[in-house]
Amino acid sequence: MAEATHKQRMSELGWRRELVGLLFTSPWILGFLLFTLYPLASSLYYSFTRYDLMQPPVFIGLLNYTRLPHDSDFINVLKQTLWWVGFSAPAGVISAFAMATLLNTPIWGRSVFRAIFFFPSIVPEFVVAIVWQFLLNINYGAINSTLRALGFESIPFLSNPAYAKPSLLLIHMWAQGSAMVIFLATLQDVPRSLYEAATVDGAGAFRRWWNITIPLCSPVIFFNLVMAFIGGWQTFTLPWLLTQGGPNQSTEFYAINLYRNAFSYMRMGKACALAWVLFLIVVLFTVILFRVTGRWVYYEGD
Amino acid sequence: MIKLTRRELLYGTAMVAAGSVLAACAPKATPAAEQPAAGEAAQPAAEAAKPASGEKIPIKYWVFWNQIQACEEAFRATDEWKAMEESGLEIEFGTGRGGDAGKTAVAAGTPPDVGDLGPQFDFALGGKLMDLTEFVNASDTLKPEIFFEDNWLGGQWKGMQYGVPAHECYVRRGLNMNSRLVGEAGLDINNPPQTWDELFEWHKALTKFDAAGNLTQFGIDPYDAEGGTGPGMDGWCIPELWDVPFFDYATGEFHLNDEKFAQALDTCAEFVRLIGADNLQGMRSVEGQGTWGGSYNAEVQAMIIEGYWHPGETFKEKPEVSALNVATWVPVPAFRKGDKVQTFSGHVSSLFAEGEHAKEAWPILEWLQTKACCDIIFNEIGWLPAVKDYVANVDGSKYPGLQFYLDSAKEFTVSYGPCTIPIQSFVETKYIQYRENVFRDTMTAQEAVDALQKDAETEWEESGWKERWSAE
Repeated sequence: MAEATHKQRMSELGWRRELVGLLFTSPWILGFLLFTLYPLASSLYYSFTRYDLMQPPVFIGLLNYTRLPHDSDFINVLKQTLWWVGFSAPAGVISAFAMATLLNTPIWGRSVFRAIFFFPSIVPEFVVAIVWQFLLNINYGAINSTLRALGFESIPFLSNPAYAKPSLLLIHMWAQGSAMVIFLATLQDVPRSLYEAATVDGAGAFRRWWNITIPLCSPVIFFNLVMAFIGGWQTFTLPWLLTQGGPNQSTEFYAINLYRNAFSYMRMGKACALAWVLFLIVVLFTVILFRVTGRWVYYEGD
Repeated sequence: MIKLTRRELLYGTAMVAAGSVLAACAPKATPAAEQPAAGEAAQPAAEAAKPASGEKIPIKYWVFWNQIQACEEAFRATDEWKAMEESGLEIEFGTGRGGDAGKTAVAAGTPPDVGDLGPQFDFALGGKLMDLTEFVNASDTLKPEIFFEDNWLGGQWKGMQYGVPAHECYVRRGLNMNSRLVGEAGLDINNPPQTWDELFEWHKALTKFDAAGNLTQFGIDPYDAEGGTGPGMDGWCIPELWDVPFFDYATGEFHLNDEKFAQALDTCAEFVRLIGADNLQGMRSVEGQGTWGGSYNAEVQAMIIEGYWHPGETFKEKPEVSALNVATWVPVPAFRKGDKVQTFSGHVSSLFAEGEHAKEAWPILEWLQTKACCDIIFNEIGWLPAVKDYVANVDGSKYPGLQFYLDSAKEFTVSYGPCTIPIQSFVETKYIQYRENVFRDTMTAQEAVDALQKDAETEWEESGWKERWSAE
């Protein structure tokens, strides 16, 4: 009898603990349910509807999905975004790693340089866009004004379809402060003894960098690459502010097209379908990246 | 003394946090019975519930545009505004809530009571606005006959009066020229171009490059400012000038693959090719950061197609350039030489069906037509209303070039109105994309208008408007 009461008490105590745990986590759970799960579920539902934001959605089945392959805009933005992801993700990682490597060397004023290189990451993207606009504009930009003053022809950085994406790439590579800081921390974790041993063995600077630095940093390189790929598919602010998808739709990336459909054309149903297709694409890319990691990412514990 | 254990404190905190989240997410209680059905004629303000003695009715008055912010202090200082507040209204005046923020607020069922200078037409299509017919019928001051007819009709859709002209209306077409640049090019400002062929000759004469081939000055960007707009409340400039019947309101069919439209795109493309497509893009980037026609104000562009507001706005922004401004008729294609084309259009003010106190907000729409309000807007920004009596007494010499617009409203031979098509935003975006294909020579003009027609038809069908149009 006493044992039964004890078990009952234990059960009550367990239940109370569960309740306390749930209570403590309830703000997050509620936030997740209301602000993440509910919008996600809603957008999935809207993707099967014709919805203009103003009137009630009308269920149209898979039409928003099945029409996409026949949509010339969709094909174009896929091409443009693939180019962007393909170049911007590796270029961003290379740029961040190169900056971190340089800033890891013992030079005078290293802290100042680190702050300067990190600075673009804390400046709002809007400000970054305005600054680069004034630098790159073909008619009034600082770079082209200098070129003109020297008697050279202007370079249509953001005005020509062939130059626009590379120009955005340049800005993207410049604003890699966050990834750079992660690399910097990783570089400082590489054991000195490995470099010393390699030096004793006669390895030069490049050999030490290639055979020690890169392998030991490869998990972080991989992490930054995955984040860059995901971010690349979602790129919106910079091209929207600098080129609005032009010239000649050369920077009309996926997220810009999605935004146009949602808020300009009032096709929220189609925009939701585009968002879910984007989600699948990102998942697919991430899975592929993870599959190929074994070939080049070095994990010390393996 | 109450002893609070750490556990109890944590319990309490968790409960308060959870409660706060729930409270924040709870839908706002709105008296559903007070809300008229979409499109249904609402009862006028006079019959609306009166506030309890001393109780103020909070009115949300949103202008979706930024410039009007400059007027707020002066608005509040007028006797008429004070009278509205003394009658029991407490007006929250908000500006710059345009685009997505405004659309989202309306879609979420939390619109303002009064809204204007925003996508009113989209709101009307979505059934988010009140039919103002009964309010107008009951009003002593706001009558259709006080407005220019096309401006008044611009607030109607399928028999519903979804808005009344306000803030910025009147005429939208004029060729503005910088007299200094025109004179320096050896052209006669008193004998302006009447056709697009003549305009091209002026364009050539006014375009200059430096020794390295860089553009330093150009005649006109045909797609700048009003020249570049797509279908909307301002009409649709280029198809109007070429007299393209691009949409049949009776059948709901597009006729964008018109030979004359292709001719128009070809003609405009020649202007761009002369200055270089990349240069144009650069100029428009600059324009995008500020106001329309930034390159005109910078005296890099010598001519610009703009509405009546151009003289006033230029006067405010660049008085020294404004002093050189001369306005005339926008040139037309040779086949209609002699036509004097003008477009009456502009913005409307509306009451939102889901606005908490929309009915009580009607006096604001009446106040917007008063001389006190129109004076402030005209003096601060340079905008004109659609009120005939007010415009008749405007001093055309106040802003250089304005007199042309005032005269043109009487002397036009062909007039157009707003171009309201349900998928106008889509058509505008595609129009901008395809015309760029033409001046960059990646598409012929005929291919561009064919593609535009195809895209418009597809969107018309996929957005459900084809079906809805037939049903309505």
